[in-house]
Amino acid sequence: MTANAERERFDAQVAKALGDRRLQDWLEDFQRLGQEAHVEAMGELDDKEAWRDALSELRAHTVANLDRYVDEFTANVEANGGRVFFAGDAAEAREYVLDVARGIPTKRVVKSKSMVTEEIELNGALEAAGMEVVETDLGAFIVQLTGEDPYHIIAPALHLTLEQVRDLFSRESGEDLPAEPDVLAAWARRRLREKFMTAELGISGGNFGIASTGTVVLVTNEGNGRMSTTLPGTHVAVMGVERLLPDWEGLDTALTLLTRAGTSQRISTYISAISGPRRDGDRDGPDELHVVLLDNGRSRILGTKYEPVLKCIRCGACLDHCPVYGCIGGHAYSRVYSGPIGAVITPLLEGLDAHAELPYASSLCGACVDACPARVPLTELLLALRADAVQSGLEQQSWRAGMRGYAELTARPAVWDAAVRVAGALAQPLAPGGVLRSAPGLLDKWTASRDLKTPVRRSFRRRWRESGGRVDDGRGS
Amino acid sequence: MDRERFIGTITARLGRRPRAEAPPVPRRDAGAAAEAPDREALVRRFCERLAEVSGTAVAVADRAEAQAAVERLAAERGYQGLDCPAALRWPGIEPLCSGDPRAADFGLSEARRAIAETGTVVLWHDAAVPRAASLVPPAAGVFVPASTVVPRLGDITARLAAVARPDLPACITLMSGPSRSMDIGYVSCMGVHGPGEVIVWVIADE
Repeated sequence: MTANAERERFDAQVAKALGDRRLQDWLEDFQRLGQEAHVEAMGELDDKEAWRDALSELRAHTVANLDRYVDEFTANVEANGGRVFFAGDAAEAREYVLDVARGIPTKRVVKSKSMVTEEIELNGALEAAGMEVVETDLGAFIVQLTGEDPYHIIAPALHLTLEQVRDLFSRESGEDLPAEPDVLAAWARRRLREKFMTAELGISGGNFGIASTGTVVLVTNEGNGRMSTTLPGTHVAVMGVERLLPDWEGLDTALTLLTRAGTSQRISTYISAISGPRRDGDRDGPDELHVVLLDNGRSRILGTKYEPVLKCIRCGACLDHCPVYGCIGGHAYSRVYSGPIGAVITPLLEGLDAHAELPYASSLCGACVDACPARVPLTELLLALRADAVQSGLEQQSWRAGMRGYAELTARPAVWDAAVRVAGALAQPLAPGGVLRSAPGLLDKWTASRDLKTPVRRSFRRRWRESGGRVDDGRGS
Repeated sequence: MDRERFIGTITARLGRRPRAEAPPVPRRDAGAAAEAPDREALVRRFCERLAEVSGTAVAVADRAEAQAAVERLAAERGYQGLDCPAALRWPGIEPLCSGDPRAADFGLSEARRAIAETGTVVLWHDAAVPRAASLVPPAAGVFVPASTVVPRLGDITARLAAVARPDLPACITLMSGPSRSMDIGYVSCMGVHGPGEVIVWVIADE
């Protein structure tokens, strides 16, 4: 997509989310519930800051030694009887999975939710080759039916109500289903069970890869990850190359924080640790295991100021804590990764020129940094991206004009005082609630994307002067 | 892309020469080791925590009591088929054992260990513990010896770290209660793909 088209898509999605009263209320509730549960789940740890330090150090170490760990992981996957494919970009990854699928041959693919397969647009490629691709995570299944992108990196159908899912499943089933989660889930279970039983190929992501034993670790609550990697004869796991861990001890740190930070659970229902295809004598499990390690722009980040973003374990906590995500919703960001992590990783993977608006989709309040279990310095990275955007002349023109104007004003105290006085007097009738939603003149460039607090009648500088440097209560005499 | 080029690109970006080995892995400072809780306390905690994630834990004296409980359950509910791998069969359920998980009402597995903090059973999927028995039927039962309950996840990963790669099975599952989802209207529901019911019998004398 061109930069302009991306920008228009972003603006349209923001407007759509802001105009949806129900969605706004729901996102507020969802974030409040999520944040409360997050505090409780993290608070149970004996010393949560020490755990976060440990994960941050572990991930930074892994990323700084990624060449060694890719080598070790690969040797061990192969020793376990699996195959590793090295995908430099999305096209190479798609081609490889297609080759595996065609070689079986495959009519039907079952998938366990994986953001990285969204990133490489795998479903479309398999479908174009005539295969049926079925998403089996309930949320991913729902957005596959609606034809939408995932709304949240761990809850793809977060934006849809129970009633909307009822209508969708009723249409799909041709039955009149009630708005009861258990009944709807039971219908989905029956529908998807049939797919699991007949699929030739199962595709998953990989939450972690353990280098010391060549083990792929999958985390799910529904069991779709287990089904996809147990019933079909072939399993392909696609993972970002940075998602490795040195060893099993590291898995304790990573898993403990992934589930507590991400879904506020002590542990997810199912953790599968897969070390190769089924062994002789095993009753079930796939005969073949393929692991696709995807670069697709990740190695470009190594050795730069953006390297700490590769510590991310994709738990989704930054989305749940971001006030901007809570307003603009998950579809405003790019197709795949949303929230603060999406605003950082998408421009890095796909190019800042195509996504120059994303680093500005943040108030830089730092709630994401406080929530991040791996201590990814998201606000620093967002600021660095903004600086890069300015260097490359990619920032919004209005931003540049505004900043130039602001620089002029602040350099001339007398002009500043006059401007503040005039603004204070003029703004009162325009903003009865104390907030300007649409400002006159050049300031409309600011209020096109942000609210503006009404300027005060008496500026701080004036109060300071009049009080002789003493603190008053601001109301004046 | 070939392996050398793929890894070589990463090394080049890291801005250093290839290394034969990574430096030592940073370890979490676990602080002073807490006194190990006794077996009874661990079993009690395991049972509470499993109940908190909607599973059922039953403490039994010995294997005969656990087996009798399975037989009673099968009779009460009129089960037509059980998925019991060969290693877990006994005369009282033999006639019900189909070995086909797709047709079974109930699947039985033996866990190698359990984790108290999270109500988790550790399933070591070798020939004796097939994956489908705890996954495909609508209800799953698990036998676990009381002596194998450990305080937390780290006690399992530390043990796994000591296992040589060739001795690991193709799959290990950590299972904590029934299958669940919040994907429909953010309401919790059970049994979406895996079993909607999980019963764990903790066997005191093993």
